[in-house]
Amino acid sequence: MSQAQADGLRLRVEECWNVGLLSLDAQQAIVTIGFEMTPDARPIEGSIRLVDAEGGSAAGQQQAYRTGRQAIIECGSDGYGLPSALYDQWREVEITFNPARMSFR
Amino acid sequence: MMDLTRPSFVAGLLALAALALAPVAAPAQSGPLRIEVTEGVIAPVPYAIPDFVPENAAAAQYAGAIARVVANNLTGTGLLREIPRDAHVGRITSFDSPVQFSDWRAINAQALITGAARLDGQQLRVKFRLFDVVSGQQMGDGLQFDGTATNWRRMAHRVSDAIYTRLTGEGGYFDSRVVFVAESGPRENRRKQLAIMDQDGENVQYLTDGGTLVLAPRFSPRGERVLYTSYEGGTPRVVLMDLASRSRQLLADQPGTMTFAPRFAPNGQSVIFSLSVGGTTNLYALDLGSGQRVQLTNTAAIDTAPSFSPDGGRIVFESDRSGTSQLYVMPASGGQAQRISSGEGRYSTPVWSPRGDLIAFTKSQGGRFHIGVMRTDGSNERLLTSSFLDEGPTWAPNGRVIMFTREAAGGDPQIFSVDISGRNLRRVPSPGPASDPAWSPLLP
Repeated sequence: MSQAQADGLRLRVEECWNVGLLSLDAQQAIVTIGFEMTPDARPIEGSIRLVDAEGGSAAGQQQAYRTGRQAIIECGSDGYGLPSALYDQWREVEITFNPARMSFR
Repeated sequence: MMDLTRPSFVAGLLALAALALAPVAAPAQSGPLRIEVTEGVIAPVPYAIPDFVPENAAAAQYAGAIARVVANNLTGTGLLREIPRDAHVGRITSFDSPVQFSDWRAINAQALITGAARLDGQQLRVKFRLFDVVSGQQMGDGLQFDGTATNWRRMAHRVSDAIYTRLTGEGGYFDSRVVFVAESGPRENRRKQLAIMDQDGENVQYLTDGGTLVLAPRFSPRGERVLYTSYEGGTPRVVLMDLASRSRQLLADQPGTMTFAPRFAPNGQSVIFSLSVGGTTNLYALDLGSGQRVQLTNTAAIDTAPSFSPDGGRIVFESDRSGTSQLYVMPASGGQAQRISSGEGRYSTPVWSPRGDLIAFTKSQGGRFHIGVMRTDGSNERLLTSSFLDEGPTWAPNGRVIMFTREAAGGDPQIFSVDISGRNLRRVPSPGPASDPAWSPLLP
């Protein structure tokens, strides 16, 4: 899988990662969300899970997880357009959502 | 302009293309594909709120109106965007029927609010549910509020606060009021009345008759009393008003002095204010129980506009002791004051955030006025607004929104609000020209 293809997936998710509703607490949370995809590169909702979380309170991490989960589902509803020949390489994905570098206010 | 035909540019593009097509340099992948997302978007989240379901005929007049108040509150935050009702595919005809999420996904709603109202006599019951449409799940349990029909707007605000908290993880601010100075009449003979209204501009009531100039009202920590400055007899005096009885009391009334810029301590037991006598203006604290007065500053400068930190331990205030108006922080008992404003321009009317992390202020520089915020040590100053005249910030109970007075050149003053991100600048409805807003705590 090429770097460009991986970057394409990242950019698609970024377009749907709406951080406007994140509380100040949740803005401190870094969450890693794991999920599986179908061969046509759509996320399988039932497989989405929180893999790791750091920073913020438990409530903040939960809100950050919910926002990341929403981004994965929303932008993957039509498929992420990944090459099916490389399905083994992207069947399982882990995305770390790190808002630390964003300026909210 | 860039020359796209230059060989170096073309070569660069080719190199980039080659890099893009190259396999990831990492060794043969094992485990999941891992990526890091560090950039997102900030956009209003689309939501749907059909009219609440009237559970009996008497509730019909309230069911829809409550949903409209909730929608106005939530959309007014700038964080959410209501999907127009005529675009709805689904219909909510029963509060307890299962939600057909596909209907709401079809219109790209990410959140759905359903509710119902029932009126028995004067007793109104309002309940709601909040759904995450994307995941097809309810967010938290349903909630219900009981009250009287005359308080239906307050119930709508409480529903709004509960929804806001579930969506943002932060406290709400809708069930709150604003006390302000309502202005009327010609500019050269302006009538100024103390008035109070809901945070959305509804339910305006006048607290004074306009016979005396009034300024700078401030709520007590529980919202049941108001301090303000009154020019009765032509001299500024601090007045304490009980909102329920409208009874008034002059504070620190002493012949030959002027008192102004009052504010409550967080415990509500004392007030701080400025007292001018003999050409100097210093800060004082007054214990409301004992009447004992303590001088907090002692300079030849003008010290004014004091505001407590939420823990009551410190006071931020403005002073021209350095030659221009700047912001200072000192212990609540007085003592060494530390200047915290360091930029160019004049700083005034500082107000400590209810969260305790920020201080809002007015800044004038280069002929423009700004509302800004800074950390309590003066760092990370950010200007949120800019106009001919912006002044007098006041914090929402959750510390996320600021109201202030804006006046255009030659225009009338109006109340505006802005998110602390600097987004969502909005005019707050008022019955006419209005100034000096002060935001109450959440109502009990």
